[in-house]
Amino acid sequence: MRRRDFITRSFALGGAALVGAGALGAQQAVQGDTTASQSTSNLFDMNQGAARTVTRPPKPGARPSMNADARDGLEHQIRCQCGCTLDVYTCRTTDFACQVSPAMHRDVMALVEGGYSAQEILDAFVGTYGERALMAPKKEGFNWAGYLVPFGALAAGAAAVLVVLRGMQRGSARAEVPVDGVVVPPLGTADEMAKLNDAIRNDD
Amino acid sequence: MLPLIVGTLLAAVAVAYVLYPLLFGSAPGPRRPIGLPLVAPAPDEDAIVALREIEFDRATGKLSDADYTELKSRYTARALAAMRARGEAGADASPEDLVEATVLAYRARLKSCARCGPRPEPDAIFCSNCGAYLDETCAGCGRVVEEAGAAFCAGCGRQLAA
Amino acid sequence: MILVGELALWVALLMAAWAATTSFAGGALGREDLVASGRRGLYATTAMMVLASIGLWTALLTHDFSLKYVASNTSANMPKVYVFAAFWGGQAGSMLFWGLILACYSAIAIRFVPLKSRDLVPWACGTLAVILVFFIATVCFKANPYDRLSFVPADGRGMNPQLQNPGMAIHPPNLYLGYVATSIPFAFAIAALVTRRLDAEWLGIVRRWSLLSWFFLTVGITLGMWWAYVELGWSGYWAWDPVENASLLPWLTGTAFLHSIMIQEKRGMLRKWNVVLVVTTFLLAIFGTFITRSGIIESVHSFAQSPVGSWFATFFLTATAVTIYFVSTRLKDLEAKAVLESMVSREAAFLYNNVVLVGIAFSVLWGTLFPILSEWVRGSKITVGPPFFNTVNVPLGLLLLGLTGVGPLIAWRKASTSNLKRQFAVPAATGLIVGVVLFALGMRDGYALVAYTLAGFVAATIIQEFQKGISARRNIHGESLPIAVVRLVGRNRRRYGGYIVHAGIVVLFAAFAGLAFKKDHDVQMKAGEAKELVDPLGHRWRFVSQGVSTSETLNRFVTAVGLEVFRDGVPQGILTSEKRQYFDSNKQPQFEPSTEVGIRPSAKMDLYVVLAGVRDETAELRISFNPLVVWVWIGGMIMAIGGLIVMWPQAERRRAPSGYVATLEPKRELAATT
Repeated sequence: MRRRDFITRSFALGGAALVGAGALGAQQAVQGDTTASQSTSNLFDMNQGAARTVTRPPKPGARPSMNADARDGLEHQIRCQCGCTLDVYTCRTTDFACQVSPAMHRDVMALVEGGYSAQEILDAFVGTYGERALMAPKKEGFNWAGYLVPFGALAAGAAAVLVVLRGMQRGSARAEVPVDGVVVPPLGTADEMAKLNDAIRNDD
Repeated sequence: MLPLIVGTLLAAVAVAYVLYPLLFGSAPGPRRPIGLPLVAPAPDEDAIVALREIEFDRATGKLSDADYTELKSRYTARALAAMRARGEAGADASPEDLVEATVLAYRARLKSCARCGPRPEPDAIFCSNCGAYLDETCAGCGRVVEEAGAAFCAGCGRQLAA
Repeated sequence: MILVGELALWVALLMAAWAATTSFAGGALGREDLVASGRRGLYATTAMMVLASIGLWTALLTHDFSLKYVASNTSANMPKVYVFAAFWGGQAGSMLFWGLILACYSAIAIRFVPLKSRDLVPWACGTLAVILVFFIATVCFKANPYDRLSFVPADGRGMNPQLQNPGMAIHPPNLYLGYVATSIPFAFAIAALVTRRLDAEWLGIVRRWSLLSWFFLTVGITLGMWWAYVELGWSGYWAWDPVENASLLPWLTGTAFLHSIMIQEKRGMLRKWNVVLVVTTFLLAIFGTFITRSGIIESVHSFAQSPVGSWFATFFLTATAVTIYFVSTRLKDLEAKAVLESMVSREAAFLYNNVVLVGIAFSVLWGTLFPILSEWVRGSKITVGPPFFNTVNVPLGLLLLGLTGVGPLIAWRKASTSNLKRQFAVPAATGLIVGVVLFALGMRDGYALVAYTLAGFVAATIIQEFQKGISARRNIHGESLPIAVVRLVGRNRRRYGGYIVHAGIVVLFAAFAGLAFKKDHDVQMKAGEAKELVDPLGHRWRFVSQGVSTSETLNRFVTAVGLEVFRDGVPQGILTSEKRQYFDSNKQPQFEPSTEVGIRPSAKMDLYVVLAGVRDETAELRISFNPLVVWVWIGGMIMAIGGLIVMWPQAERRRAPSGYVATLEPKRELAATT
């Protein structure tokens, strides 16, 4: 059973219940459809036709460019296109029904066998699917803004705080009074002070 | 038909409930001016709690010695003032006396201008009427302390609360 | 009852509108009777919302499938508890649930306003009523759970089995309780801005509700992580999904506020900043809901493109505009009174902590929105996934962890060198020792080493604080050790409850850092086949497949694989992972196949087995070794306990909101300047 089949079917079930009754107008039919998916989430609203082939002719005399661990690491950087928002490795090792991630996995394996390096494989996937194929934007061009702005903002914030603090500091020209030891002069009679100290000590 | 009845009923109950103050509420009294602080007078318990915390913070390294000295003096003075105010009202104070005492304690925090009389703002620094510096009087001899920030009374030499 | 509920919803809308109008009018004209009527309007709204909710629950529990909401979210054969939870399982119901919580919160907040803050009531009440009007109107016009079908289906569509999990039943309401609680501080902040009564008196209310919000968000986020881990089979608990981020944002700014509020209490500083944090937290909560509801950003959680998105966008923008107007016109009234004595002081440390917390919030927001920005600027769609967020946020998180340890050690106003030496010696040494020992034991992951060094430092800080506090109590009050311990926490709930929260943070970070050593293996196994794997701690694990079995129960096909597990040759029992395909009464499959993960938890490491698929009697499995994952849940629990201690109401007699106030004596200031 392919996922798309039964998604269509369950939509048909819910949709038909709402739409097929015929009492609802066309506009509400659309609403009915959204309600059907609202009730769950679009975790299940996936596109199983999303896989496209990414192939390159093997390099002459090619040997596998990396071992299985490195390949798994690479697959963590490639995004499954089925709509699951997961990477290829996680999707194919979790999802029972996804057709996309195994297809992408086969492409990766073929490219690895063909002797392509990690970067070349990523580039090949970007060439086919666009930049959406990567789990995180490449560090180039405008994408640097994505990576650097948070740190820039933090630095700016810290600088602003420093400036503000400096300003507040300048406001207080109070000379620090050196204190030799700690002597708090008694402010009341001995009797009163004893009473007060008792009250402080007794914390029941 | 049923929805109509139920709906009307619900709405009627709710509307009656919210309209009640408008129809039968007491006539709007004089409005309390916004901005007048409604702080409850500080009893000496507050100052003692603060003193406990001051001791504790110093012991755990959260207060420098200089700050400790200053805060300790300030809150000790406050606690003593409150204790005295209560003491005047009598140890086994009746509720009326307690009210009296809290009023006294509140008044004790109010300052008075030599020219314009008592100021309504607690802890005021300047007179809100004529702008004069609101000094304090010495607890010992009653002499008015004129110099801002003086540590001792010029009349009797008594140490003034910081 | 269902009818009553449906009508009550509309009456609630009317009442909320009434409450907003009369409260604002009463506030502006100074008419007590109007204010009283507005307050009653709010209570009436609450009562009607309760009726409306009871109505929907009745419909759910009596399986009234003539309601579209009931038909599309439940079925007759679902367990009662999930039928009950279906109230917040779908779009319309969760909006109604939101309104219900907001109404109850508002009524409680307005009913128990302290006498001294009475002047804020009309404006706070009016603001809350406006928010209520928005939510109830959204429910009435755009997502009405009482919408009816023109016929009555025999059975409903049921609930996604992945959502039929205790974690999922209680995690959303916790988050909602947290999100909604940000409305109360917001309303009182607006009220304080309008009346220009920005003194400390509103802080008490704001602080209490912020804490409540923080507590529920903490619990909700932790439960969400737990649900994702045990139910989804990704062998992770946090994927930086936009919706997860949306719950983190108000948590971060709320945490910042709970810290900086202390400076305002003690020193009268940071008043502008605190107001900004309070309103930002609320706006981020609304924004998070907007993200969740509108489907504007691709997310696993998002309720598919829904009609409430534009309403939320409008509300968010309006609220932001109003807030900006009030804050900007009131800036003068917010001028700070106090001055800062030293850059090395607790005040300054709190400020740095605020900068980092808000910085993290910004970077999370930035990363969440960056795909949209990128599409505007360059026109190409990109994915901003976990690798991005980890690159950016791990360093920031470590910075925050470090400050968690620094803040509590520094004295108010000005920390002297000797003070610093005394306070930092032991914790710093502890941290360094932890780092060096781990390095010597062969840990080479840079971030993990830094994380554990800092964790050691912060843990030592907390222990030192407790130890100093206990000995101070014993000295000052002459108490015995057990009494000193109990009273230390009991008398300073905020400080020591806060330290317990810090301890939870340390545990969390230590657990997060464990992920650096996570190991995944994908293996194929026929029945009887054995596989040997080595975990990150060097133990040899042996797995023997018991073969794939299929079975059919009442409402699902189950495909299961059992593994006999040995660790270093010692049998550990059998671990089973399943795939379940649910079907309806016509044997038609329903929903996605769901995963039942086989987890063998232990303090050091979880063994996590997922059945990924079956091909020709061969099970395809992912076997993961996930170090320290249980400590994420434990850390979350410690934080929640700390939060409870902080929130626990003090006995009336003991309530001295902030003890002493560490401002300069005005006269001395005067003396210095004249």
